[in-house]
Amino acid sequence: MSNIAFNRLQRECKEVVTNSEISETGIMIEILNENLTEIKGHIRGPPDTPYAGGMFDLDIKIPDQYPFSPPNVKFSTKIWHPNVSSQTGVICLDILKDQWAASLTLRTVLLSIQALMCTPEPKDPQDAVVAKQYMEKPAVFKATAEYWTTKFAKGAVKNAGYQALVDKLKDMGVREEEAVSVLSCNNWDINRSTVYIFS
Amino acid sequence: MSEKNTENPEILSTVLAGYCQCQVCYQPFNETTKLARSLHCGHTFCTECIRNVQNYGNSPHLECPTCRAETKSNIENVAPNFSIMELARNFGLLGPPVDAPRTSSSCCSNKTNRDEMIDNKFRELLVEVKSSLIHHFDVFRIKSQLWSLAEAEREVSNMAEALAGAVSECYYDSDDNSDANSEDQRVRTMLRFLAARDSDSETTEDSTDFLESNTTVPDRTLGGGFYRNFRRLFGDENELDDPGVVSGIEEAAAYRRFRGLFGNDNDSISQVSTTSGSFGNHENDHFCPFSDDDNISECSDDYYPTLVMPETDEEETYKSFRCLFGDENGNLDFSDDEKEFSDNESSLSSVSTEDFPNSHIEEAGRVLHRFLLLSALLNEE
Repeated sequence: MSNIAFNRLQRECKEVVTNSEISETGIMIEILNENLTEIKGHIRGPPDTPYAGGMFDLDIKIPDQYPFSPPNVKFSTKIWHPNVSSQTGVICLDILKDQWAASLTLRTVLLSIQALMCTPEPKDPQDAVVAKQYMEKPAVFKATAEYWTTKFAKGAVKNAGYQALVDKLKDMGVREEEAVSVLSCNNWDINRSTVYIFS
Repeated sequence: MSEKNTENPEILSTVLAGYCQCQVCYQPFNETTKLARSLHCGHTFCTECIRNVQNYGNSPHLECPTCRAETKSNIENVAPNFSIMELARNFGLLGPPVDAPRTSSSCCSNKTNRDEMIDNKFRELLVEVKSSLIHHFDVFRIKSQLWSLAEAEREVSNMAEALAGAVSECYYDSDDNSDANSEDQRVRTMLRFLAARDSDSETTEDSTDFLESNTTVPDRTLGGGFYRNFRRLFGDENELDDPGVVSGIEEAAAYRRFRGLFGNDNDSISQVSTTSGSFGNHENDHFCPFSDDDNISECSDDYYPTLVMPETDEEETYKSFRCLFGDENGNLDFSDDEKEFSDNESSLSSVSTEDFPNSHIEEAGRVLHRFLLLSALLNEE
């Protein structure tokens, strides 16, 4: 890692830790190794969204040419969002790709991801299935996103109906994460989900 | 807002320091590598960051780190921001000047210098060990006639240990000025030295049994390497500079030098030096060099009687020579005379270890064998 990158990251980590906005904005950074190449980010789910009450973790890898190349950021907590892959956590966000600018910082990156959670962009999706559900069945999307927040991000909203369907598939021998994923992709239709799994 | 800042000097100095540093690397501007430059959109950054944006950015043009506006020119045409530089200078907020970074050619030059240093150290090692080895073998030759077998083994073991220590010590000195990579090289060399010593100890155990000691004879593929190292040790400067192909004449010369080291007093050094200039047949010289094909049939008659009716001292010396340069069965590789040599195999088989009870010369040859292994090891590095 270059000297510029190391000095800048030290300052950025201080900026996030000492910023009084942390309690207000809900973003946090955790350093994983001394040479600052791998960092853990935390984002609190924004209020008035299906992700409210959840705490989402992100893996941040810093390239050698940072800050002249963007960091590699993805969710390590599973999240149901049109612009995030429900399988891998990869994020579709322009400032993490071609619209990266050298004056952007880890703080601005996390704030941008948090803003993306408030305002999805289904016309430029990372996960086409989620985007389709978002546009065609918004009520199902909201309920599914809330369920995923409760299941994977320590959210508080309970959904007894969805949990019962998941338990049915688990009784058939399906792994829980797979059951949640397949039911969500099939709009919680137990018959289509069963056919999808066992065909 | 501005009134509040002017009323508090502490806040004012913090704000000024923020304005006099680059917004990408957060370092103060200086007058060498971090000169403040303004892109065409008006945003100001240091020279180093603008160059990095140009090198690593996605856009073919300079893209502003703040507003992404394009500056359609190279960094050489981006103007310095003299106002910012003047402001920073007057308020004492300039960073220290930094020298230009080293070029890649200087790195290559450093590597070349280190290689030359190691090579010179290796040559010094050869000269030093050569002198020490000749001295030790002279003393060894004189004393060996009085030693028992156990004493000879102990002396040989001490000599081998001293040689290995001298080699490793001299080799490590050449790494004193090297970078961290030499540490791995040093560890690797140490492990190989330990392996060589372990193999030496195995050889020492076999030396108590005359018959089994033949199993330590090196195989054919190593013979050429041993011969080249032998010449590097005992040849003159010209031979060191120009190692040639092994041939009968050169082998005869090496044999005479070898006999000069390990023979008894009857094989005088003056005799070797007298005959070093010519390779013809001599009345008292039983070794017959095969200089050309025409003399093969004529010389063979003189050559093989020495094996049938040998003088004891000369045959002992010759056996040590075969031990070093021969193949697995102790045969020397005369490629020009291969057919006739195989035809006389029966006469060669009559020679056996039991005909040479004196093992001192063999022990001396074995020490030389070990040193040649170490030399070959250094040569590989």
